[in-house]
Amino acid sequence: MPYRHCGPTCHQRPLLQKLNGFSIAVRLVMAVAFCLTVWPRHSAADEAETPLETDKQLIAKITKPAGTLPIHWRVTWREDPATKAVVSWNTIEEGGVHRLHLRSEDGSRKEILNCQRNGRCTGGGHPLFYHHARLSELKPATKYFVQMESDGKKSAEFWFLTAPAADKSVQLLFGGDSRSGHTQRRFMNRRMARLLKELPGILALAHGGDYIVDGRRLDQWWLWMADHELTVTDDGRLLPVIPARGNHDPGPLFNEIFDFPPDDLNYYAVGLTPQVRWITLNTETSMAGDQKEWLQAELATARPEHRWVAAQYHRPAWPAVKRPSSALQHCVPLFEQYNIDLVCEADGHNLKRTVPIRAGKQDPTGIVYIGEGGLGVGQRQPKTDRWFLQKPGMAIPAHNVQLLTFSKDRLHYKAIGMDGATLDEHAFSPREK
Amino acid sequence: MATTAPANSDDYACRTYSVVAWTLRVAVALQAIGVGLQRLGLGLEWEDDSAVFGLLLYDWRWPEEVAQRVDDLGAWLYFACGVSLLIIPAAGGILRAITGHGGVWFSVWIWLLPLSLTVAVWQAVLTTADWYRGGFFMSEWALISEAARFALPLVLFVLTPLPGSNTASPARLAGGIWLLRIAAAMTFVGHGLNSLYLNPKFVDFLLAAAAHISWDLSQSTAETVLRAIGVVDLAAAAVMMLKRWRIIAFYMALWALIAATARLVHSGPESHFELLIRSGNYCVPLIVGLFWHLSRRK
Repeated sequence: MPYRHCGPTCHQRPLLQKLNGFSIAVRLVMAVAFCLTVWPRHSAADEAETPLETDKQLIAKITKPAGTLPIHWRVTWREDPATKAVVSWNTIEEGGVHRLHLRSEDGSRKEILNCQRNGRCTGGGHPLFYHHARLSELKPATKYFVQMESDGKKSAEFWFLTAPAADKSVQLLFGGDSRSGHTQRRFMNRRMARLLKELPGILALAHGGDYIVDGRRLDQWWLWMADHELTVTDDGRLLPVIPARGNHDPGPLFNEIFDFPPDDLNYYAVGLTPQVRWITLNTETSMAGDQKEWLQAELATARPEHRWVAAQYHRPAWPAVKRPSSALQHCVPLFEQYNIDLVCEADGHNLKRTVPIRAGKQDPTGIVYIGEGGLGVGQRQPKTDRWFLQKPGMAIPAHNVQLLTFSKDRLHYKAIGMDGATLDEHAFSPREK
Repeated sequence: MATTAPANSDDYACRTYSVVAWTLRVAVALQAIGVGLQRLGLGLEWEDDSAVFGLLLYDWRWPEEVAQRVDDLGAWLYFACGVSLLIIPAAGGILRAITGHGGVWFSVWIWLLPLSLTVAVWQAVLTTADWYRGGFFMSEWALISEAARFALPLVLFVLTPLPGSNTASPARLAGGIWLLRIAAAMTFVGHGLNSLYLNPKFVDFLLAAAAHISWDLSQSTAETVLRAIGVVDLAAAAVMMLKRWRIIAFYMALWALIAATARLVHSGPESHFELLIRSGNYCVPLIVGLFWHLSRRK
């Protein structure tokens, strides 16, 4: 086998030797044909950044569970993120004393807090215990260092940034559907960690739901939480999560993992700054009743007081592949009545941005719906013949996370692919009050 | 098929069979049109993929194009076979009336077996994929809740007479009716449990229906009503299995029709396929009720 190690075209050598009698022209034609076959596969990817780590290397970064060693660290924002946060972790043994070492960068606060909520995760399989330290009276726009401790075993020291109390530019990641494709999920998590490092203005990840295939299965949540460790930057910055519940996330584990009260229905709003209101809805509970009333009240209060009002939920009102959810009947009229600035959806497993929509048709004063979920799940071909996906809208199958930049004069949206390439970009001006 | 006035017990049996078989055919055809509208659009603004597509693409990692084609093929087969199950016997009857030739009738009749089997198998595949993939409220109960959907073509298959006969044997007919009773009861158990556990869609249907008649119904009241509906559904399912009460069968048919119509009230006329796709929910108890009614007259 003389050509065993000669490169990707080695299998063609014996064939070429037989072609010695052929004219140069024939060889040229073959060469051109070969180039035309290979060229398109490389053109798009050449511009994109190549992954720095292999999946094997990423898996090796995830903490191996052992006794009461803290694992699966995460920060959840479900109330005022300028002053409150929940720092959570898991252990595979129950343990007795679970504490969080907290210190602010400016030295104004240093204390050890006991977790307010500990328990065993619902579901079979290997036991897993959650620990939640609810932090309050934090200082806005401040770097907090945290170290988890369970029965004397400590995690590394991490840090996160609280949201600002002043009207300043902030960034937020939005994405959904991190179920099924575990390797792709890890790559997307690493992509988010890189973005977090490159763009320190990013505050959190708003997750649009469908973390795993079956929300009642602890083994799947276990893997999701383990993979979530990869969103931590190399210098230990944690990416807080603003979670929405998806149709694949039924059962009590969602509330246990993100420290919602056991019967909480998971619709809520947080102020990212005094001028940015982020609303999370739940398409998996009744939308025509209490949630609709809550949304109306929330929008009535938030709209006059905020420059930017945006919402996230799981099942789309304007889907790129499926049929519309109840959000179309119950939320869209309110969005239009109160002129919300942007709506983020998931569930469809692609990347989409609709045309501005009002009263069921394209309207320059309408609302743009983005998202559809690309944090790991296999991507599928969107139905681009739908009217609201025509230009200036778009839809493509591509793993993605969406970077939202809220500044005084515009809301900038950029969809970023797994390889770091920009897949879509758009800017919105503030609504006239 | 005998359509003249019955003169003796055989004629009564034949007429009873005829009513059961034709109602089954209409119900299967409605269901098939509903599936066609839902899956293939057929002129509607929206179309949706079935759980089979998701199963092939995400769970079995088939190429998307292949998964889509299999799903489309299944939907087209379902639609074509379901509608043919109504058209072929009707056409056969007309041909027989015109030509007076029984051979024409039996040559088309034999096609009904593979057609009903195709619909039954694909419906079973759809329901099993729903159950397996989940992603909706109480999906683990899908095989129970959707029992009427695959019972319709299955019973039609069971009741298809052999060549040389116009009717199924009384034993087969009785067996078919038992299958329908079980399917109706299972469907009501599934929906009853969904109501008891407050399926959010059902809550929204109630709220939308109330809003339609300008009734300011609160969510908590809607939930109380829904729990009561769940209890009644479970009771109706039990009675269906234990007693031969026509009134219960007809009540179940009427309630299932109202419940299916509630989806239209909630989601608008574009979702009329939802009413068709659930034809089994209201036609299965209707057939049982009609059978009991006609048997009683005999």
